[in-house]
Amino acid sequence: MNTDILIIGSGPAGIQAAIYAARRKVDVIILGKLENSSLAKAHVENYFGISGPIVGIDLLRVGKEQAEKFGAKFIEEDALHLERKDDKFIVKTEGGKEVESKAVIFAMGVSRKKLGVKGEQQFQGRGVSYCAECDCGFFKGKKVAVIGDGSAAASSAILLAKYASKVYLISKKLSTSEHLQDELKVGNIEIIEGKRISEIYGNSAVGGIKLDGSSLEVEGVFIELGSKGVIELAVNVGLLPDPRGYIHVNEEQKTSVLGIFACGDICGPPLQLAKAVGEGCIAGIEAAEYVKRISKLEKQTV
Amino acid sequence: MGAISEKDKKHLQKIFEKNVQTGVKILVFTQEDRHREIKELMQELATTSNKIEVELYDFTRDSEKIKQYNIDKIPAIAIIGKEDYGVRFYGIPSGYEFSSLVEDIIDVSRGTTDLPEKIRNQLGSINKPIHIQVFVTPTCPYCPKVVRLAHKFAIENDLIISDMIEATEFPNLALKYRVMSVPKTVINEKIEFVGALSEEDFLEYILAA
Ligand SMILES: Cc1cc2nc3c(=O)[nH]c(=O)nc-3n(C[C@H](O)[C@H](O)[C@H](O)COP(=O)(O)OP(=O)(O)OC[C@H]3O[C@@H](n4cnc5c(N)ncnc54)[C@H](O)[C@@H]3O)c2cc1C
Repeated sequence: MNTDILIIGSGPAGIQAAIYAARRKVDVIILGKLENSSLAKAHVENYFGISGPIVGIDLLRVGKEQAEKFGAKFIEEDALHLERKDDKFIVKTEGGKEVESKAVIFAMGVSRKKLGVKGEQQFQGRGVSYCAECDCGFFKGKKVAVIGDGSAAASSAILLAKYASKVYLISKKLSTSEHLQDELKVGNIEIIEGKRISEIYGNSAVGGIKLDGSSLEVEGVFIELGSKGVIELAVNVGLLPDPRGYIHVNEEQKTSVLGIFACGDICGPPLQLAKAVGEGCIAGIEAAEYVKRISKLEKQTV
Repeated sequence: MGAISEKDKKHLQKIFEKNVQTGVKILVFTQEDRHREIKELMQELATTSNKIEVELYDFTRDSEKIKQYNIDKIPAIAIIGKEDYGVRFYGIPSGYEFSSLVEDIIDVSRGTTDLPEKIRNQLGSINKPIHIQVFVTPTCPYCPKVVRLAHKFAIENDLIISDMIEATEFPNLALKYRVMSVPKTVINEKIEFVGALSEEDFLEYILAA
């Protein structure tokens, strides 16, 4: 699939960027799941023009319809991988799709990475890991657990199954693409759904986890909540977030990498709806201008 | 040949041309005919700039150089500018770490870094030897940041020596330091932390060592 602008993230920042870009007559594809936006569960009272509390998911749904009306195309899947190919960017989705784009707008928001259970902090670096790609090699032939409900957990379990002897994928309710579900059908992956993890235990390193009272012996616990985060997606294209995980942009929402823009919570505080849509507006306009400019240059050189 | 693509070579040529100041030597320590990959990678890298030179040393034969540069395991790389700033790589700087190597070459050629003045001043006050070991894997996106910081600290203070260590290439070290997550940093054998830190927080740990 080809497009002019690919927006990763369909919260208020991404959708607002899609609306502005699509109205400028460039092709726009937007990835992500509305219900994973921070706004989905919010009751908003401090946004201009809204006085009584309004439910976030309703705002998102209307926003999506607006963007679609102007021609933006939604793919309700997570991005798993981003890379540069010549002057374009290629993103791979959890559904196995490949989208090639001239410009990319990061609008993934910020998401919780920590589980918040007993033992998690204590065993960080001693069996508790937040990065399967980084640490898979240390668990060759060992039993591990992956915790999470989304595409990050599923793709991590698939990777870890190549190293570990056994991978337990522990999830409240797994919600990911069919493509990933198929890939999860590997002999040494066992999916455990509907159980709550209450503790990570061990002595000097992780020994196991407590699941609804019963224990499961593992040496590694990979906490992979939600979707692939900004760092995993950004480094391949040479973009490094600051230590807090935020992306730096200039007043045109441009990042340090040509062709990549960012907007919303991902750019840092205040983590507020009004700021997210404001930045989304600028990112949409600037990305469209950028794409038109390089398209013109391409035509001139042909 | 072919460790670096033609396209990447062109790109490297450009950034080295623009940024490398004085000459830089890449000393590569290997053994006999082992470690071909790292030798080839460094030699190809050196073709992209006439200011970068590679010198190959053998771990058993060149014992004097081994001692001079304090190399205790191979494959090893030392990046030397006007002086030896203590910038070391143990294992191949491949994957995400290749960018650390490229940026280190530039900093070493200038003998200075972009660390803020305040941090540089604090680094200047350190008056005892500091040895920083940063364990990484080539597939770790969080790692280059820590490696770069450790190497920048080494460039700014002669008493600091900083090693990148590719954990999968040195499994016994990974075991010794109980590395189960990267980046893992060990300072003077007594302080350790996992993950990426800001300049200030990293420096706090060094000052406490
Ligand atoms: C409980 C709660 C209450 C709040 N109340 C208010 C309020 O009253 N007023 C206010 O102004 N703000 C409020 N906020 C903050 C507000 O919701 C956020 O500032 C806003 O949603 C940020 O928008 P965003 O588009 O940057 O990110 P988000 O809304 O978080 O959207 C991020 C999008 O990116 C997607 N995504 C993430 N990773 C990937 C990936 N790898 N691939 C594809 N897509 C991906 C997600 O699925 C989601 O669609 C509240 C937040 C919460 C959690």
